[in-house]
Amino acid sequence: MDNHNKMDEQLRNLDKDIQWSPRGQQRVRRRVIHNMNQTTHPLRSLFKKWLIPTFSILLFAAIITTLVLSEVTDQKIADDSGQNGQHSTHIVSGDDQENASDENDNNDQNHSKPDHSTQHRHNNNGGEKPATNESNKTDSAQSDDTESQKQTLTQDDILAVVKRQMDTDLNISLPSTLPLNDGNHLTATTSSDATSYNVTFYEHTEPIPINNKLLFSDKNPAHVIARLRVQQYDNQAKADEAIGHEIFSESGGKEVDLGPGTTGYQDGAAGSLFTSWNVGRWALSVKTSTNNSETGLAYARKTVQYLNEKALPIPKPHGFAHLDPENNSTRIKWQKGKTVYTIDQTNDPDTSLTIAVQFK
Amino acid sequence: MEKDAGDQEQIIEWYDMYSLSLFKYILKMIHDAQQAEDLLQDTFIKAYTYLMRGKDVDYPKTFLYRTAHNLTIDHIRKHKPIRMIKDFFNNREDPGPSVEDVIEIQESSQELFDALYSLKANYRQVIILRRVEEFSVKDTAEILGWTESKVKSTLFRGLQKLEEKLQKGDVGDGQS
Repeated sequence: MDNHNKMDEQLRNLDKDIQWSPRGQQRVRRRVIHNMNQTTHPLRSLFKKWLIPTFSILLFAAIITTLVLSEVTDQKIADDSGQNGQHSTHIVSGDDQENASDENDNNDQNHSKPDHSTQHRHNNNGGEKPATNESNKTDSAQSDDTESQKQTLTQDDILAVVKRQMDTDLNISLPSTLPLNDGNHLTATTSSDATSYNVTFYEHTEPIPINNKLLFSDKNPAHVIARLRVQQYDNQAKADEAIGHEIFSESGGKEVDLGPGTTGYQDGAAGSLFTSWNVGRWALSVKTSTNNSETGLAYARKTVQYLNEKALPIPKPHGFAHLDPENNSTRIKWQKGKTVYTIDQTNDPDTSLTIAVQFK
Repeated sequence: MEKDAGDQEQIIEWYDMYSLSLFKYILKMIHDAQQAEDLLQDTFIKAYTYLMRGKDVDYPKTFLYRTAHNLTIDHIRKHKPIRMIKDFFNNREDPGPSVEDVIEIQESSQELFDALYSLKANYRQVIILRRVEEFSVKDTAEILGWTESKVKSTLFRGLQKLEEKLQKGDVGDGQS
């Protein structure tokens, strides 16, 4: 009985003789609180542990993929513009209107006051100016890094690619050579639809692929040589109206001698002097300021002489050349029935004439 | 959110009140201080999830002991074969803090501590609850999920076994 009571006493005091370290008690307390928080916010815990890292990895992969695809796309554009000659219209047909706007912007920037010294462009016409095209790096035309990727292309090669870039029902006619400054490379932007096509020719010291997005950007380093626009109208009357043919002997004005067998007529209006003449089915008019009447006459005579050697295309029925040696508003238009060809945006009328005489 | 915070505060309050006695109860049952800490933690997490389900607890001490008891019995059932193997090889890969590092037991009580552990689990748990923790027969029955008469009869036999072991000095691991 004594033993029994003693054992009961020992049992009652047993817990007093067992000591659990306060550190252990606090450790478990912290673990309980931590686990309660995880139990309360399992989604938050899951989010922190898995979703954020997973999403970050996926986002990173998406960015890398986008960059790679962008590079591949640029490469394809460049390749399509190059020698393989595969038909590519994804840039051309994409935003014609926008591209046209860009072209206008670029042209405004690129045009400067014409200079008669640009006659040297004519001198380059006959040669097969080597042109190059690059296969990569759309915005690094001036980068040395791309040198190894350049391919040497002739103007014929480039013009052939330009043709393939356009999708139209019209028969595409292009000049065979463009007058380039020494060392410059030819490139172009194109747009087209069933009844029209536009080509803006550029030159630059470094090769730039045809329809490269750099040519549509504000940082376009290339200079416009000329723009060719070909538009088929619904009927002959609209095409005739677009040409606006004139017979200057009927309009009157002061007669001037422009060379053997060619009589011109000078007529002034609002500070401008027009020296105009007709040859065949063509009407030509040189615009100068009234203060420079001799300049206009001299340029008209030089043009008559030039056209005795190089023939303008035969229009059906008419063509009109508005030549402006003092400003860059030169336009040469001719029609082939309902289709009207226009050369404009040149830096000087010599360039326009040089291109126009290459058409039949 | 406010309810979650309230439940957490409740659990922390219970922890501060009962964790020490609960730890000693689990420790006496399994003789493994580190495992006792783990089971103590599980006891309060289980109590927290119980509260989170919107259930009320009228008698927290009894409720916590019942929870700890169930977890401990589950642990004993699941780990008994493993424990035997470990004892056989006496080679724990990650022993962690030893019993001595985490707890201290007065030498005068060590024999009783070991003798209790040498008893069958049924005897051990009823003796601890009735004689050490001094729960009433009714509360002990509720904690163990027994009838009150089973509590009384098992306690009677358990105390006899314990007295025999103490008199014989037989406090080995053989549980009887």
